[in-house]
Amino acid sequence: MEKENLNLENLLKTKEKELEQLKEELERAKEDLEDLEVYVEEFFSFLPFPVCTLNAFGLIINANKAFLRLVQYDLLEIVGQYFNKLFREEKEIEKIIEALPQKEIVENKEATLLTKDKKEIIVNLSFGARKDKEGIFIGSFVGMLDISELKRFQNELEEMVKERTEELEEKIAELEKFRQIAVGRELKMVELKEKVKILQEELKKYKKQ
Amino acid sequence: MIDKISKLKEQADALMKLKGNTKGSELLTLRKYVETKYGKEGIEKLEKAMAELGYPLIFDEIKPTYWYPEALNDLAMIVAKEIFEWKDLFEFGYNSPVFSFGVKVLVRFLPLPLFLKEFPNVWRKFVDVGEIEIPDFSLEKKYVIVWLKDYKFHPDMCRYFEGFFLRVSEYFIKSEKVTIEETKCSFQGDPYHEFIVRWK
Repeated sequence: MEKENLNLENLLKTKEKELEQLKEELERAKEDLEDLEVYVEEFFSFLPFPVCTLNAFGLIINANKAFLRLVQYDLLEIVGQYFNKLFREEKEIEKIIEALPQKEIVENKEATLLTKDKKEIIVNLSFGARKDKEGIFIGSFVGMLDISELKRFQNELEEMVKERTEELEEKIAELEKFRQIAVGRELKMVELKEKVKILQEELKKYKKQ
Repeated sequence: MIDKISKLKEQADALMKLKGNTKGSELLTLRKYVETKYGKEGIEKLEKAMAELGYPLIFDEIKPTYWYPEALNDLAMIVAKEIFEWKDLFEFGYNSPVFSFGVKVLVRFLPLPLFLKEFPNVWRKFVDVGEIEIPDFSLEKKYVIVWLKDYKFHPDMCRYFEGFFLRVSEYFIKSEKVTIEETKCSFQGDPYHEFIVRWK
């Protein structure tokens, strides 16, 4: 009986120790989760380019500070809005979101963002599908780059190239005209020289006679 | 403000006797909301009011994964409603998923029928009191019935849940017009709270 009690006491002590260890592990896991939360939130907030998360049908669930700065809405205003409605190409973007479960990634889609104060900004969009561990599509991440400056520069460059091309075409046309005139005169000279030569020969013949 | 707070004292004492816990993340959601709307001053005001009531709440000490009394969470919301002069808790309930790390990261945005199956477990992740049941829903007729059972903390919380369930519904229902209505209430003698979500 005493031996049995001693065994039970030992078993109890071992179980208590195990429980203590499990509690410590749980505590560590909780701390890790909290650190992870802080890390995710800080990283999301730090990202200098606009990022947001969408649910499965394109509703905005979360957005970072850079995103809010670009669209000029605050978090409470933007969460719950349909992402595609922020763009001039509303229908086209809706189709991209609908196709995400199959495509998984869509990159470099150019679109016109309409900000809260009705400003239009050309952006480059990239979508990445989110799936849970069972492979069910649960939403997407969207990255957005403001390329309006780049676009402006590109347009200016294209305009400049167009102007230069027109200038060159004008110059070519002038040259062609000049060439035609010059060649025409040269041919006339050759013709006149021929005539002079014939006349000289005829004159020689008359002199002999 | 002291007058407003002292009026709450009796309610607070009764509320704080109720058992049940919630994750610290829920208290921190209130903190983020108040901070966004009223800045750090708002947080100080709320903490001061809680201390005056005899139930101090220091947000910096709250850990998101630890359990805290659900009554404390509800009391903090009710005190916030009083000091910031909110009409009710609907707007806070509606906006709280926006700030909730749990909702943003831990909730899977599944198709509606799958989510409804998972919803009672999602509830349990954050609150250890009360039970969620989905007795009926129809995608064709466009409605979901939500029962909240064994949860009777404070009548103000009904508006909070209306707002909260509405936002969560909007996350899972593709419609521009989603509405919610509390059709049964434990505080009106019904056996549970019943919310009906409808959409067009």
